[in-house]
Amino acid sequence: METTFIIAALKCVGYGLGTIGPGIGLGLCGYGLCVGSARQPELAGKLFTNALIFGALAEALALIGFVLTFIF
Amino acid sequence: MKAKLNKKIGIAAASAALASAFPTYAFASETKEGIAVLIPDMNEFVPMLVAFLIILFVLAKFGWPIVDNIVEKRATTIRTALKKSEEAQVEAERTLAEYKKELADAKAQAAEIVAEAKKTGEAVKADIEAKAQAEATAMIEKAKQTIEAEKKAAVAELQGSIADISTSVAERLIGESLTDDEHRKIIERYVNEAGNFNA
Amino acid sequence: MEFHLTGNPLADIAAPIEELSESFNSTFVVDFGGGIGLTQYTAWMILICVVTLAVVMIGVRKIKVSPEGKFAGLIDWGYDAVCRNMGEGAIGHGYKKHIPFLATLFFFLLISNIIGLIPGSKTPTGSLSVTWALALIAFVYFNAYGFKAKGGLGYIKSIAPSGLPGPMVPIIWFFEFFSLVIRLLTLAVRLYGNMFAGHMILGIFAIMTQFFILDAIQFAAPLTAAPAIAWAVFLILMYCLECLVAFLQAYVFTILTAVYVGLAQGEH
Repeated sequence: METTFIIAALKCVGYGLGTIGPGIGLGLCGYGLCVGSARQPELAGKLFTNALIFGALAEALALIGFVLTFIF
Repeated sequence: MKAKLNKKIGIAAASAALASAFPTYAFASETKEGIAVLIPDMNEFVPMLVAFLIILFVLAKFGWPIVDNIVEKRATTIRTALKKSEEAQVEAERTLAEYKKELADAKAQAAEIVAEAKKTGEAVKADIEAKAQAEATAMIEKAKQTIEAEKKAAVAELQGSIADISTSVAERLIGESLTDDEHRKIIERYVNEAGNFNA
Repeated sequence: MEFHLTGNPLADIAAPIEELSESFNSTFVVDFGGGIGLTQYTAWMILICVVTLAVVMIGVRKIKVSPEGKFAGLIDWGYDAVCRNMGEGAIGHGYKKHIPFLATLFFFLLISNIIGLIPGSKTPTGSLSVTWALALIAFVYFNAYGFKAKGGLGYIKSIAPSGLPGPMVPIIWFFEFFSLVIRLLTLAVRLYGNMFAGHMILGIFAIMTQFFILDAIQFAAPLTAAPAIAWAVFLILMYCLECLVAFLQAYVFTILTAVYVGLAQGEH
């Protein structure tokens, strides 16, 4: 009972640490989108598409972390 | 559309068959361990798959093409309306130009008429002036001639009476009565000479 | 009567939270025996399918050439968003034939997420199996179009982007292939995680609010009254956030599918 509790706690802490990177990554993605759209509003559509692609790539790591919490 | 649908159904059936090889017909209220968390539960997987394919098919056949048609119709309506309004504008501009030209023509004509009228008026005025002038000169001439004639008549009359008056004056001066004929003749002769000098 | 500063609100909190956590597991509503049955998620999913069909089929009959009416306007606007934002924006040229799939996906997800916001209902996308099915359909769809557009071997070769120096191609190809396969997992887990976690948080905040308020009333303790109000305010804020997340996740799922289709078809 104790060990499962400790393992569960460690899982949560591990996942929490694992969201630091993707959080910063997605924030940078959004920053690039906003600044780029502010400089050249006519490119906003293309920029948005690219931002989604790279956001999905960065978010994949966070989701893998989320899933690993449930598996192990 | 049908081919793609069949292909998808085929793949779904294959994956469902494959996944059902693993004993994951868990009683759903058990919590799963390990990698089994990721494998989908067949109880929910297959109905979802089938239901989504059904609504996809139904909507793609009956639902969305209607909206598509209406969007198309909207676009064509706007396009034809724009084209018509453009044509109407060109037409309007053309008519405007035409009317402007006519107006300019009418104005030119009016100016022409006015100029002509002025010219005629001036000609008539000059004409009248000349005529009046001529008439006046003619009248003056006539008057002068009348005066000349009257003068001559007066002179002739005077000449006649002067003989008598001078005879009477001479009579008084001389104190004798003159016999008419001889003396009258002498005096007439003198008067005629004097008259000729005077005349 | 003794004066307590605080009661003990968290005393028997274990049981309700356990109960809450259990309620998110798929339990059978209708049991056909032999391990097959309708879980509550499946039941809600059938309801949502019926509602989606009804909404769309009735809505498209009401759309006129010059827009009027709120309901028809909503359906019109949703379809327009899919066409312009996701179709032209993400796919670019040749987007017409993908619109039925994307529109169905978008409307289904939107309606399911919104109905899940009603207290006492479960959104079908809160179960991993259901989102797995959707992600699998989307995955097969965009790969199929990739194969159709570029031919079998051409598509596999185009997984690695063009313009790379020779020796790096296998390495990059491997990573890109992994990233491609991961798309299936991420699509499913993103939607599931957002919906599941959101509703779980709402449940926990509700339990907290209930316990703190009960404690404040029962023990007349002033020090638990303020956190009770705070929990209630947080609950309302999280509810608003959940509304936003409902729209956002439906939108993100659909537009990511559109982007993948566009990438698979390749730029001309």
